[in-house]
Amino acid sequence: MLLVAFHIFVRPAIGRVRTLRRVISEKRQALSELLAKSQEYNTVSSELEKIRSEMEHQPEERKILSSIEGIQKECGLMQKVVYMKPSANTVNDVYEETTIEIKLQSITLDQLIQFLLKIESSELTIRIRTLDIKRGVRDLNLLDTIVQLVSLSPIGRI
Amino acid sequence: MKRSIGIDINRDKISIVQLCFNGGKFSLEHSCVREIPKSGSSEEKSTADIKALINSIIAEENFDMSAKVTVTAPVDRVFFQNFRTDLSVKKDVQQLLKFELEDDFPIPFDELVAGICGSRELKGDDKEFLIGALNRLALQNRVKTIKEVGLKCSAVTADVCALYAITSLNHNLIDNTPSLVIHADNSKIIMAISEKDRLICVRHFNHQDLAVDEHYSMQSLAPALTREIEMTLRAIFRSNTGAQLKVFISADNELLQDLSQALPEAINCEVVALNPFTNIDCPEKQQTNTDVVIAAGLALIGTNEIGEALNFLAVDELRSDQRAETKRGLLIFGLLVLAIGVLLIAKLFYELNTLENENQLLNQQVRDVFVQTLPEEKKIVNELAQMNGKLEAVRAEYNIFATGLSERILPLKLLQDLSEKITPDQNVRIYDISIAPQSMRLVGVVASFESVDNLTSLLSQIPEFNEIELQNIDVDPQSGGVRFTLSVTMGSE
Repeated sequence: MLLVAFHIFVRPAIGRVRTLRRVISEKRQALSELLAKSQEYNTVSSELEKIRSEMEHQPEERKILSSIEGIQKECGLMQKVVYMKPSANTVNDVYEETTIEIKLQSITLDQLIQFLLKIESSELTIRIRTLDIKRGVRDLNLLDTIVQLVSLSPIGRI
Repeated sequence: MKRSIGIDINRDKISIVQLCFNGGKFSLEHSCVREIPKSGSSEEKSTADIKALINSIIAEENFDMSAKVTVTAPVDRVFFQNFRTDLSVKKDVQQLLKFELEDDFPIPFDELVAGICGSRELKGDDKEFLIGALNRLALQNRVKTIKEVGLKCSAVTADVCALYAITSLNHNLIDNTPSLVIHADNSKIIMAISEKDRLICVRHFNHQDLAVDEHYSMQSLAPALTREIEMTLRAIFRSNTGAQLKVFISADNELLQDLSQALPEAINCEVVALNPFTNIDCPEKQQTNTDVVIAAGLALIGTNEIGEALNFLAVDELRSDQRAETKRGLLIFGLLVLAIGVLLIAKLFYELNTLENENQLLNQQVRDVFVQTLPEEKKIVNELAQMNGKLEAVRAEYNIFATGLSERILPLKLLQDLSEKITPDQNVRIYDISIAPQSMRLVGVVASFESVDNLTSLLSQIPEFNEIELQNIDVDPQSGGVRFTLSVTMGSE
């Protein structure tokens, strides 16, 4: 009778306790891992959302070009622009990278600094990727400069 | 006042005596001897006859039903006189003897009730015990018989103990003289030998045992009995009895006379006729009644006013007590084991319940964290795996932007650093600066090679510059100075 009761009630209970001990230990670990990943997910998502938000508020490429033109105008560089070449490169299904290369010839150091200052402090999410400064061929006090700007924006905004 | 009844149940008769102990004196209140009707039938019938007979005697003779009753053991009791041990405590001997004598008694071990009847000291520390034994079933039947009559059976003892008790009371045996007590009635002869007031040997004879030839006669009884006595004494005392032996005889006149003549001729002894009522007040006619000797001895034992006598009932009850104690111990042990078992099982189920709750709580917590983090996920199968998948996806997307956005330079900061390090007095003319996200190229002209080294040292102080490599250095033919090209690696190391 006791043996039957043991086999019916106690033995399965012992088995269940053993299983639960193992499962709970694993679940505690999983919970801790999940919490860490959740935190990381929230952080990354938040950062990503910030970037997205910035991109959402990003002017269209045409507007970027006109904004840069406006900055050039402010710095008195309108006559110094040799070229301004935009090019697009797809990043993924949603976003594309826009690169704008600007060549400025025979500008003063002050003009260059003013221009860079305005670009860096503008509300546009454009960043300076490369900068090449050379002394002018005709006048060594002037500078020939090539600036490469880069911007990320959703596809189809152009 | 203390009353005691002795019942001697023989094969052919029952003797009952009631004694009263009052004021230090014993008195005979009732005595009765009745023949048991010879039914010749079954044991049950015989037991019924005995009960009926005792009932009628008790009722007719007005025996005190509340008095303690001492009864003779059934006739199949046996004695063993050579149990020797160096143990001196009676209780220890009592516990030992049953196991030691298991094979010496014709009674199965589980049914054996054995007790100490007497003892004598041997040379050294050894003692020789006289052990009486009987079958438990027979003992229980005897007690049952007495109880069914309505009497209170307090002791069951051997007839020889009763004989010795009555002899001891009436003829002081407490000395070093060995004594021999003989009781003979129509069916049996009891012989007891004592030394230093202790029984040391017991023998029982049927009249037929002592018959010389096939025809038993009273005339041949005395010589045969004398011969047996002689042999027994020789066996016990090794032909050295020491002082003169006292022989107490309780028998009819004819046998008493025969033995009184025969025994002194055979052994050095003094024969005395046993009078059971020398020290007991009783009517004169009872003085020589040998039929109630054993019953009177039993009643005497029942008063507990004389020395301790073998009580089979007490021995059996002691064993029963021990058994009961063992059973109680086992029961307590069992209960303890059961209690421990129950506690363990209760703890097991409590733990199971706690673990189930904890498991449920963890499940809920995992689900909550997941739902809180990814509320858009409707189908949840494996929280951690799904979270991993989502995190990987968002991380991959972020990395794309991070890579794209990290490829940037801060030219104003770099130009400021360069301006701070390259002061006009150093006479350095920079012709070309190319700044990329992780590198910078600097082309210029200085006055001397040493100035290049100085410049390199100064630039290396800029924290963002990890490594400065002089790629090209040569004399500038146009200016006469030294033209150099420096390659700078930037970014975190």
